[in-house]
Parts: sequence; structure tokens; C-alpha cells
Amino acid sequence: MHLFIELLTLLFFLATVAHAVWLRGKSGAGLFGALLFSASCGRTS
Amino acid sequence: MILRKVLYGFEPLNLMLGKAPLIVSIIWGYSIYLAVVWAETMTGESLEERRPSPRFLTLAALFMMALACFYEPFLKLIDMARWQPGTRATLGVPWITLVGYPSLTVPFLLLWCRLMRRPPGAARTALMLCGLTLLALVHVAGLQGLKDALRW
Repeated sequence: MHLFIELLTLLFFLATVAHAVWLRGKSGAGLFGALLFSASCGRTS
Repeated sequence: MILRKVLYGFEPLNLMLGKAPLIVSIIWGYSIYLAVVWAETMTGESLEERRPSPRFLTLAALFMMALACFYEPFLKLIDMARWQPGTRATLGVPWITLVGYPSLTVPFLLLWCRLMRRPPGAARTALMLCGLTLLALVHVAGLQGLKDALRW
């Protein structure tokens, strides 16, 4: 069950990254980079 | 590693990023992005303009609070997130999440937009990295402090 949820989360993540890059280009990729960096600092550092 | 066990812990999962579950690192990213897209749709504004209105930020915050009400009972149901013992919750939603989700989202968007208005270059990147690190650490520490102070 956990693996399914993890894979689903990963799928959603990839879909939203694709949406951001498709619609916003470099700025969208940068936004996701910043979001990931921020989340990684706060939750996993 | 110091902050990893602050507020809550996660069950050991299958997909890991270093010593942390991958899900923890990526779920914030796409959740905040969804809040941005929803706020853009509702207000007609674009984050690309780098000047989000109070209405835009309020809607993004409300979206994140709604998301907390969706995620948290589900995470509890499948025993993925483990909050500190005694954490106060209603219907599986820890009260502190209703503060925690929007209080990362709104400052992040303000910081992102403020810095993106600067000319691109190494200085902007360095400011972004420092600012985001500071924001993330202050957010976790502040949230833990608030939770302790309010006995939530």
C-alpha cells in the first residue's frame, strides 16, 4: 500500500512539473527547483 | 538530520532520497504549485507577473488548508505520518497543520516573487538559496515553537 501511494505521489509530482515547464518554461522549472530546495531544507536536512 | 524528527516522523518507506522519504521532499512542491494554479484560475492573475495580490495569497493559503484536511486523515489512515504523541487533532487533522501548510506557502510565494523581480544572475541565485534555506528552517522551528506554546 505504501509503495502504491509513493509511486502515485511521484506520478503526480512528475505531471505537475511537466505542466509547469510546459506552460511557464524556464520560470516553471525554476519555481519547482525552489520548491524542492525549500522542502528539502525544512523537512529532510 | 537534526530537524528530521521535529514535529513528525515518517515510517520507513520504499523510495528514499538520502535518509529521508522521497514523498516528503516532493509533496510540498506539487502541493504549493497546485495552490498557485488554483489561485491563478480564481483571480485571473499570473504568478509570472511577480506581484501576487492579497486575494491571490489568501486563496493559495485556503487551498493549502483544504489540502491539509485531505492529506492528514489519509496519511493517518495508512499510518505513513506519525505526529508527536499528544498532538491535538480533529477528525484526523492536526490543528498545527492548518497553520503549517499556509505559513510555508505564502512566505515562499512572496520571497520567490520578490527575488524573481531582480535581474537574473549569480547574486539572485545566491539570495534565493540563502532565503529559501532560512525560510524553511524558520518555518519548522517557528511551527514547533507555536505548537509547544499553544500545547497543540
